[in-house]
Amino acid sequence: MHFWHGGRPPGGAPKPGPSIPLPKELSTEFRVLKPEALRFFREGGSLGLEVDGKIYENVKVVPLFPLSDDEGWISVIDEDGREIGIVERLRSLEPESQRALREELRKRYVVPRILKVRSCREHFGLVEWEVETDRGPRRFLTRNLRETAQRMGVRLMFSDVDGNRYDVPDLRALDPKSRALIERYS
Amino acid sequence: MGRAEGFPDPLPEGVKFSEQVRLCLEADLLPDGSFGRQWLVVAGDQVTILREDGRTTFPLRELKEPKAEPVVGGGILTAKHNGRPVELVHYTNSRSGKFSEAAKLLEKWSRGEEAEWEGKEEERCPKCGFPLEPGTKVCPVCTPKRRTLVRLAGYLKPYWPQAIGLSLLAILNTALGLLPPYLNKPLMDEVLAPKGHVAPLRERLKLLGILVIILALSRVLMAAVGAAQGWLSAWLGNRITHDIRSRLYHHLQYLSLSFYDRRQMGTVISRINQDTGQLQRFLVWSVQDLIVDSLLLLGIGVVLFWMNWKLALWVLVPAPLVTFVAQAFWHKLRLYMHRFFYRWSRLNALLSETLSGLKIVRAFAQEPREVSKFTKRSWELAYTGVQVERAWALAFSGTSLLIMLGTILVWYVGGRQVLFERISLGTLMAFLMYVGMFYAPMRALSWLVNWCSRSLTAAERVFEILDTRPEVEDAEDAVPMPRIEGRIEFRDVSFGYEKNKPVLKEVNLEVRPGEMIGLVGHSGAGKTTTINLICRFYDVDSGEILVDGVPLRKIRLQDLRRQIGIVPQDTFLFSGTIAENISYAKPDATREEIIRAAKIANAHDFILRKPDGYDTVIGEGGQGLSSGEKQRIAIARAVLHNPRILILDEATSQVDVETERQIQEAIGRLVKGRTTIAIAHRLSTLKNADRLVVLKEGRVVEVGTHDELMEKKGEFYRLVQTYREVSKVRAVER
Ligand SMILES: Nc1ncnc2c1ncn2[C@@H]1O[C@H](COP(=O)(O)OP(=O)(O)OP(=O)(O)O)[C@@H](O)[C@H]1O
Ligand SMILES: [Mg+2]
Repeated sequence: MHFWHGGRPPGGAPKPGPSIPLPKELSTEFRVLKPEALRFFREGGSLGLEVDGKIYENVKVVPLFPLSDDEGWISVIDEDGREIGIVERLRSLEPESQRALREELRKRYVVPRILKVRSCREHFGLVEWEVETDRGPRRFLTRNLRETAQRMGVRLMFSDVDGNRYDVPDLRALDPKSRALIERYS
Repeated sequence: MGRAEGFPDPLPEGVKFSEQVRLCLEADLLPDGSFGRQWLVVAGDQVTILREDGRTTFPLRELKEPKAEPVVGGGILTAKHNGRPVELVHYTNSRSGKFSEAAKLLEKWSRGEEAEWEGKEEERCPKCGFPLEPGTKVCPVCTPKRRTLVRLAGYLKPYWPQAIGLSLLAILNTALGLLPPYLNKPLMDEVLAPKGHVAPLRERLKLLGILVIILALSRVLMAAVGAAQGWLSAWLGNRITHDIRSRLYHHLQYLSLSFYDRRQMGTVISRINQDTGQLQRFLVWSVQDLIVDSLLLLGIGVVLFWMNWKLALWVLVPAPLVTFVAQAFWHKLRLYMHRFFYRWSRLNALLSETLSGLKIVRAFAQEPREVSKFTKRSWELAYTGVQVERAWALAFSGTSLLIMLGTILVWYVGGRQVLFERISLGTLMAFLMYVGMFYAPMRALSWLVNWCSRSLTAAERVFEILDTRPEVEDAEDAVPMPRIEGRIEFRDVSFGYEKNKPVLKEVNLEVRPGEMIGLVGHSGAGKTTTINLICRFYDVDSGEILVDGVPLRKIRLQDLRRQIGIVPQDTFLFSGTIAENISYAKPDATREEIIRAAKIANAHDFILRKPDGYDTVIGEGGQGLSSGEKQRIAIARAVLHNPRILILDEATSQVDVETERQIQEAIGRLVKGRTTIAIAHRLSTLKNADRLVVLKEGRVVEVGTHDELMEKKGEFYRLVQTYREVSKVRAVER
């Protein structure tokens, strides 16, 4: 009897040919904000943006790839809901802007990342979780994860009974105990 | 009324306000976005944000435009202070319902109006903490759990004679199974190797004959009983599973659409298939195995102790070990099996998805990628399959080894006793055979117990669906409405698919009976949502919809839906013939009616040219028809329904302008005296409408006739202008 040990399946699949890049001229409406000409600042409760000397107040920011790239491709929207442009890399901004933008993103996109599962108790069909997240400790209830969990490769996302989502970016990166607890219920 | 401690949340310990506290709400996020506690307190005419380390206070009157602004995963209560936006508190979804209520209250208070907290008292199950639907007391999560076995047994009730028969057969089978080993004793001690007084050979031969006949008879009887038992339990198990499955399907038909919005269709399907399948295996096999094995274990145990209790004690030595090992392996096995099922369903999902999207795959030449995706998933499945089998194999050999230990012990201890002539050879032989039979049910039982708990979980999941009350449900005092006149009223209707993300905001609208209303607005403005509410696919969050002056909630759903005909935006046809699809809502329609409906929908002419006419079979989802043809069949279906309220959501978007004109004329004749709500992006489609309603971002911004709105030069005028420009450009290009 053979025991397989994961790895690649026998006989790899053929690779599709190289794709043709999209011509730049096509993307006229697409404005990538140049990091040099850009300054984010906090002003009371809101975020402001200065581009090429022009000042926008109360701008909103939306991460366009919040899961796969949370510090890149951030859309900036003005007060009237029009897109001013897109910041391609948060890290390319100067430190002050970076801080302001990061702070705003954290407020606008509340999906805690689970760093550690402290305990996990099942009672009456609900699972009570006690976890450590990037936003501090949290306790919440879920139904059986099999129903609500979304698996995307090594990532796992699930929701609690109130509709809050929690993100485990890489199951393999968790400590063994946390991982075992999550796998038991998912 | 003095609610000194705060309302609806208690004030934090030791905090006092000199003025009366009108509102206190606890938030669960800190300003920097991490978890922590903050309170919004309105005391007298001061608004205070209370943190663990301090407080900020604003005079209520200076806070303008308080808003609960939704963000991903929660919200922010914002307001304008001295013309500058301030963020008052941050919260997650757990608290967002309360804070949107608070925003409304603050708004009223800041304008100096009297208002009371109207937020629904959010109720949670006292036992498990699950949020309950307003108005219900029964927790859908924990109440049914404890009753699962009882409920399963309830399904057995109609078949109790068979169930009792089955139990009797099981007992008989067990008893019969105990007999053959016992025959060893006389065979050895009287016939083959007698000690002491030896009977003559003829007598011994005769005894041998008798023993053989008894053995043969008992075996034949056992086979017969076994067969009957298998047949009966299969019959019973399949009946019960069928009952449960039909109940489940019936229930799924009536569950609200939001139930499905929240779930992947795949998991719902797997519930029907996998969970009822598991239930069936459980009911057909596990239950009877459980009974038979327990009886056997008990029976053999009794016989062993009765034959020789000292020797029997040795048999028990490996018993705890076997159970322990089986338990230990069970956890691993469960993990692997779970993974196996998960991957299995993922593979299935991929298969059905790519096969139905085959055209797209081909069009973009992505076959190699799909193949490799499939290969990868199939490989994962194979790998997990091996893991499962490996765990089984290890567990099985492990327990077998331990079991052999018991037999080895009996050989040694029993052998010595025979040599010292404390027991007869026959006793040892019979004993050894019983020992061999003893461990099998023991091992089976240690698995079965776990297996049953798994099956009970499956049963629980099935019952969970059965216990989900259809959210849209007939009120107890629902009134019959055999004939609807067609007056529709929206009063301050707000609605969102997800809570706290309103799609429709305070919509007010009145449609007169027999009127044709054109609903226009940008894509995503909420047009389809509006008609979803009229059909009561969803219930409104606040406000009220009335039909003929009766609130929608009070109208019997059957009556309502029977009198609404809808041509939805995305046409869905069932697999079947064209005639079957047209007469879907009226299966007893005559041929003449079907043809007339098709004529009105302008479908007759193309149906004519199909090889089998109205009997042409169309594939799943309407394969084999063009989009415009599908739409016309959908129109015919709605027309044949002969509704009092006709809803056309982009019903003619896929047909050419000439055909559209013909359909319109026909519908124009049809809709006389019926209320019609038509949605169209091609504004020319709506030229027959009596009035137009313009929706923008979930609000009604304009209502009026075409001419009025053109004169007003507002939102509709702009829509028309853009539409004209675009059509002009198109015309030039042609
Ligand atoms: N089932 C759903 N769950 C969550 N959000 C939804 C759902 N259906 C629609 N929406 C959202 O509600 C808003 C209004 O949708 P609706 O279908 O009413 O638009 P519409 O006016 O009919 O647009 P179109 O002209 O494109 O058909 C959209 O923002 C949409 O994304
Ligand atoms: Mg629509």
